[in-house]
Amino acid sequence: MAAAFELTRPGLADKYQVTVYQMGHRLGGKGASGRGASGRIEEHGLHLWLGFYENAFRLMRESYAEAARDPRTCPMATFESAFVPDPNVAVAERLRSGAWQPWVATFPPAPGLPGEPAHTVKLFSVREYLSRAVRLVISLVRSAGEGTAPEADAAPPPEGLWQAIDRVLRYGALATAAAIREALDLLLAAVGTFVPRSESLMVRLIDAINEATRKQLATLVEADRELYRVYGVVDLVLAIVRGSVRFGLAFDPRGFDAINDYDWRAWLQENGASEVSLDSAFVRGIYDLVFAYEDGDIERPQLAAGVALRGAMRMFFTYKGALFWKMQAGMGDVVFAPLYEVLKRRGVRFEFFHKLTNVGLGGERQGPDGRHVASLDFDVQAVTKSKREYQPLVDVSGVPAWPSAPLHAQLTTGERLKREARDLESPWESEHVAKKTLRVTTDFDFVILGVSIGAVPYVCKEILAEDPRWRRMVHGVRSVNTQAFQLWMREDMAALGWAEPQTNLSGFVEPFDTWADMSHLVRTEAWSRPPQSIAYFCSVLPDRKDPVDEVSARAAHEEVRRNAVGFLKRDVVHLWPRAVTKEGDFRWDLLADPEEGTRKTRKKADESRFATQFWHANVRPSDRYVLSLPGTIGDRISPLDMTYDNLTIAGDWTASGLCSGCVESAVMSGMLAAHAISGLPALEDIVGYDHP
Amino acid sequence: MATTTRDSEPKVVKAVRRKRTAPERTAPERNMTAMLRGKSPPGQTGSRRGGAPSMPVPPGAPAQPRPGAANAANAANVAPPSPAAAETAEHRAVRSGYELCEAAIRRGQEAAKRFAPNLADVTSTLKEAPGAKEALGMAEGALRVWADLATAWMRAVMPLAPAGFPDPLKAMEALREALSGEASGHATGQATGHATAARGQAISFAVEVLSARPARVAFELSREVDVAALAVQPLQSLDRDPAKPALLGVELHPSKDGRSVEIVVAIAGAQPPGRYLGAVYDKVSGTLVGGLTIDLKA
Repeated sequence: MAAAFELTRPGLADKYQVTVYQMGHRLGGKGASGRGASGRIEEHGLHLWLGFYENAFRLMRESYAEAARDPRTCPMATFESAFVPDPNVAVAERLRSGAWQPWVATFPPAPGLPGEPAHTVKLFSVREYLSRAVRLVISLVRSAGEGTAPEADAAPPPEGLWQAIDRVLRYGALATAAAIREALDLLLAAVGTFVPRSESLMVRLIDAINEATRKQLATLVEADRELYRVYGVVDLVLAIVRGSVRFGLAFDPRGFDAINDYDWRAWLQENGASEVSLDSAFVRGIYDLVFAYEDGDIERPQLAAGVALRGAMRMFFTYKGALFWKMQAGMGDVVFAPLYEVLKRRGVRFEFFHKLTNVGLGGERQGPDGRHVASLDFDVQAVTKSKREYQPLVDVSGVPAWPSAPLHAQLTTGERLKREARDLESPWESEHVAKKTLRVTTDFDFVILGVSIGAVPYVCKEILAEDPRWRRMVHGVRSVNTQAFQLWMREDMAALGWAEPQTNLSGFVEPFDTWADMSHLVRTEAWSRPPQSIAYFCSVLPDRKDPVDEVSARAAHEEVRRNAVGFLKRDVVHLWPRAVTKEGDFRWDLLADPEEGTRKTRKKADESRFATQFWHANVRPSDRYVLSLPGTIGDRISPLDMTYDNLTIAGDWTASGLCSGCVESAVMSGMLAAHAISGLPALEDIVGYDHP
Repeated sequence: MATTTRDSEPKVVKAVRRKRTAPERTAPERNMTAMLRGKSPPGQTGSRRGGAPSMPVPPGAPAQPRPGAANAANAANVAPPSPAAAETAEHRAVRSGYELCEAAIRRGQEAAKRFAPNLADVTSTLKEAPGAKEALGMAEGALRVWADLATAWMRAVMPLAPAGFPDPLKAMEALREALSGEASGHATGQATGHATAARGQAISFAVEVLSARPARVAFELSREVDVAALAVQPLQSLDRDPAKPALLGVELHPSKDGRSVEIVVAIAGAQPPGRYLGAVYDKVSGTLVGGLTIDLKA
């Protein structure tokens, strides 16, 4: 979508005619959402936008501006009505008693708003990050040691910086809190000026500070939970600074990519992070946020250190407005509906119900015409009765939205498809009314392959048969199953016992380590008796041993149901103590039935009532979450790479510069794909592409 | 999945298949140079295709890969830049020039910032502060290196400029003269001789030229280096003639104590006269650290 948006900007509108071919009835891939009974939003999982998603937010700002929806009739007419800041983030800590305790942090508003065109983007540099990180340590140590607010930056040392560091190191263990503070001030000054030859001195200084801080806080940490957390963050940040210095990241032409062969936790450990910090909720939360578990096995956390460091630095130090931003409806409604409207208006053609089955090659690699995509084969899954374009959106409370199921009434085979419960988004669904082949020069000039990495082996067999680089990518860039469920409840979060503000929590117990309070969505749904709260849960789902097909997908769906029910009966009490009965069972009567008014019989208030909620196993190849495993980032192909001269690729699985599974990566990749074809946008205008 | 066609074309069978244009680069520039160069101002979207050099480009000079692209292309293994087979002499000249100048600028900025985060205060404050001599010496040294390398690059690419293009060498020479008289950040060996690199880290080197014809050798380092890791690319001709072979007979021999390096230049009798330039790099880190220029007389 981002590529189509770029290629049809007004300046290029007369140069390219774009046609989007989409399997099934809706856009968005893993980001697609639908509306079910009572207009409730049904997602593949939890989607949160981070405040540094500059390119994605810019795309959204421009889309809403160009869509020019009427605010009198559409409650989501503007960017500001579609995204709202969410400054709270929480991680769950396991106490010695076995109980879980949330650690909720509120991040202060940062200057600017994401995607604002007028707001100058600050240049990213390792040195700037290191300065910010050391400032954070100074702030935490001061507040922990004295219970006072951070002081202003200390004056520079009267003697030369490096001589001053030498002097501090001669003190040995930095026995006093004052000495630690002085050492931190020196570290801050050194980070801003260091040159490679000073690395050894800086590492010694960091080690001395870490050791001294550990001793200073050790006794206090035992008794004070807050200090324990503070020390954990100090320890991790010092490890990051130490590692950045040791690995020469400020001067390495590869930037943070230089450490992508390391796992994030292993790299932190190698640079002095303590076991306690490595097992902290803070570190686990990072892994949970990006489903970083190989094969879905929570015993095998794996995340490329460079990708993690880049993501962490940008997440915590470059966010605009708020750390998180929450969509005010489903991702399909907030993101893909306005994009669809704008692209339609620009003349983009959409061919829904087109399932790609093969990318055919032609020409000779060494020949005059070159090797290229010569044909595209599709199964046409359905056609409209009117022979006109399928109209995919419905109105829910004034918001243009995607339905969870196709609008069967528009389709010639709609009644049968509905009766037989055909799932046209399934890769294993063979239903089709025709086959179609597009041919190069006749039907297309260029191809942007926007399927997920999981679908590439199925539709690019010819490419994989001949191109080792593509094979390496498909082998190296792995993905993982995920699972999610959503609850609509008759009581609000406070009544359920959640005492903190509305938040997003990760690092919690498996099988669902992440929870987001999405109660704000109630007003955009269409319940006759609105629920009081909405909760989304998600996590990885271990890979199945049986072959991946429709049968195993159904088994996975049932597995997620069992996981969710077990989680509610066993674990949710730690979050919502009043959501359980005296006997310890979940209060099933809390669950709101979206078909309450239309059912002939009322659903029982027992475990079976969970069937009225929504859950999803993301096990289809194109639904799986893309991982950033150590040692595999170099396997990714960039949309800019010329593997075939009329083909480019787009998706968060490509070498997008960010290389992590998120909407920002996908948008950056789409912009790169557009650049590959048209030369626009300029690479310098893709925010963060050249980030170290 | 999206496909594109040209709207202006009729929807009938087209004889000519369209192909993508090779992009200016295929990977991020994650190095310091890219950061120092900064982001293109609003309104220039797309105008920087072909690479915006930090140094002025003579009109008519060919569009080039952006400096640093070679380093950024493969994160797993940073290799020294090697000229592509299809590269012309002009390409090589401009690319080498960019790389040398940007490396020098980068090091200069690092050095200048080392003791004075606010450069505007350098002269007024630092002269009286402890360490002032060293700081100012480094800043001036960095500027001098930049001027030297920029001049070398100008000399190299000026033959490519069309007639009437204003000669920027005069300005560079003026800058060099203004900075003269202090310790030099580079050294020049001519025929057989030796010199010493400054900046407090004495690196002495001797140049031995084995040639039947006169040759002038200039060896320039833009940063402090680990002598044992020094290596040099094959020297490429800066003349217009792309058929002119590279000058291959250059070897660097570091001493065991790491304080000196011997440069041996063996010039074959058939080597065409002209100016040859090769990048000097740190073979461990893959970073560019200087250049070696040879003027071979007829």
